[in-house]
Amino acid sequence: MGKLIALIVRSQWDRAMAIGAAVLAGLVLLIGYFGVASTDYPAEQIPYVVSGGITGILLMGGAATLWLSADMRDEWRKLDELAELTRAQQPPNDTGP
Amino acid sequence: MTPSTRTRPWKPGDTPAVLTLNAVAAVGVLVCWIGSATEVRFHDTLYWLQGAIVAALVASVGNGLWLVAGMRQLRARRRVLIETWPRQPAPTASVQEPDVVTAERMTTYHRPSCLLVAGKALRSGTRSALERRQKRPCGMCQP
Repeated sequence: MGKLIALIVRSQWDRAMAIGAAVLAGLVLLIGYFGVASTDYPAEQIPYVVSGGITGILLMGGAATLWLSADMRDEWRKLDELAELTRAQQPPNDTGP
Repeated sequence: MTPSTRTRPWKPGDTPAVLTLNAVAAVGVLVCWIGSATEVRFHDTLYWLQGAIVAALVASVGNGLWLVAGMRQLRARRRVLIETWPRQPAPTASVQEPDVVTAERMTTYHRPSCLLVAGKALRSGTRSALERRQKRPCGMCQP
């Protein structure tokens, strides 16, 4: 099981990182929420908004970027395969005398 | 068209640039967090909050531009591939419908020689039967 997870993480590192960042973002947002809720003073709430809220949004954006970039890498690899197939199907250039 | 030597749709300098922007944004948010935690007056903490928002915006714009750059490279690559795609002879009119092929989860049907179905487990059928199953003709081989 551990080997399987390691294999998936190695081959899909970008998606694994995206999921990790999204989970971390959720945790950070939750911690920020409880921090803000724990105090009545707005001046004490702002540091939680910055550390929890803004950091969570930053991480969520990073996760989305990583996931989309993984899709783009997949498409790039597919286009590479198709280019290879196209090249294989083309007749060789007759450059001889 | 030769296969690309790059393994991703970005130029060599793009990824370090976006990583730097994200690192700068992360440091910016950290500084703003520490700064806001040291203030006592609510009004003063708002400046740090604004700073953190700007840092997050910098990272978002950087990420967005990086994705757009990748999409542009992909679009250019697709265009070149379509231009060099081997042309199939036009189908001749016949009494019997020629067979076309499709795969289990494909939404399109193809000529059997189409490169997009190479190496896939295929099922053949008639055009009209596949169209009844909501399959559309492939835009590349134009069956």
